[in-house]
Amino acid sequence: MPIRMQEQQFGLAFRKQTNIATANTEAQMWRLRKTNAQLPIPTLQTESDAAEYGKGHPYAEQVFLTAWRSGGTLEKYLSAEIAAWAMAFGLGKVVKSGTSPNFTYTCTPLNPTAGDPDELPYFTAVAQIRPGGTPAADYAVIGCAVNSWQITLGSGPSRENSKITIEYVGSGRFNQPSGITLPTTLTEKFLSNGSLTFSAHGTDYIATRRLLTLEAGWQNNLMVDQGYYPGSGSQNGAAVSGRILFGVQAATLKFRAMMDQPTPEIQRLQNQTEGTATLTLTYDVNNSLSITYHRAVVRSIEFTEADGFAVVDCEIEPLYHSTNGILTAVAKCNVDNIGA
Amino acid sequence: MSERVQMRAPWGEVIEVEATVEALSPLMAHGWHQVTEKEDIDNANQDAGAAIRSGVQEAN
Repeated sequence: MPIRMQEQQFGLAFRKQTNIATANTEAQMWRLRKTNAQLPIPTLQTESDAAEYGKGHPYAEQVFLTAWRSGGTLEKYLSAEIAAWAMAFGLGKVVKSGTSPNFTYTCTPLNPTAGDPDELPYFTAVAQIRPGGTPAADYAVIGCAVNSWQITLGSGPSRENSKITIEYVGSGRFNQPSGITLPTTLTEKFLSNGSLTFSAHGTDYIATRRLLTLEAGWQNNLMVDQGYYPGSGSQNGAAVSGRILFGVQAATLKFRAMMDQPTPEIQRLQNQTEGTATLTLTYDVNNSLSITYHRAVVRSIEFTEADGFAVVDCEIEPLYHSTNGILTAVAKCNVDNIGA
Repeated sequence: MSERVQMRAPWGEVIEVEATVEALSPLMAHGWHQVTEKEDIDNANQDAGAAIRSGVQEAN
């Protein structure tokens, strides 16, 4: 019997695992809506002996199991809850304050130079299709870490114009069946594009009504293959990862704005003017996301057109600030213990 | 006024600061982390473990 992909259930742990190999518990899971169909079902990597000598011919005689791979991409409309989750798990360092309904998560990137861990918090993802009895799919994917997140804001009246894309990588470990019954779908507070405030280098892009699109991202460049070291572990005869170190991290920020008289970004690029940049999305006083880039310069600008109007594509380079680091994100929502 | 949180330095010092971007960013960027209830319990358990171990040594 054919299975429709919308039958799938997707779960994500909002608390961190105690270590890379220990799955989150059922009580630590969210069931989430998402806009992409992909599920994080583990894949088994194999190799044949075709290239080996001694068989008397150049063809394969046997296939060997080598390693389990897991992970996936989560695409969602942006909410206060998933924003807080992405900041906590994607940046790695969290300070929680506030009480219900106003939990506040202040998040910054981990800094191993200052003694922080070089591994991000791990979480479990659950992929299910017709769970229970004889499921079509029922996996708990263990030891996942956020490789990147990207917030994309566009112009238009639909939810499509405020989205987040999260890429994550798993250790290859999994439980099948998951042993987890997902709760009801999380009620999320949508952070609409219309709620954005954005200023950079002293310019309020909302007051001038020039802004058309904005993208803010974070990249951890996870060193996935490096985790399959001698002794990293195995499951069902194939290797699994024992650690997922992050590589060279980078923040990205770019926007498209209508040209102005004069267009201030030109001078800022030429002069490499330094300043701060801050974006904030708000549902209400208890549900919001704010990201502050402590030191930013214009990296590039490109003039083009959109809908018949002259526009400028501006790429901001977030720089390291010796006191405050590269960025600070403050996410508010009514879920306790995110990333804890 | 913002809530206050306890932060621990890499060298162990604990201070209480307002939970604002301005107060937390310089600390978080330089290895400070929040003192959590769980951490307090872990430290207490370690202290208790140390006390028990010294007691055992004396008995020997």
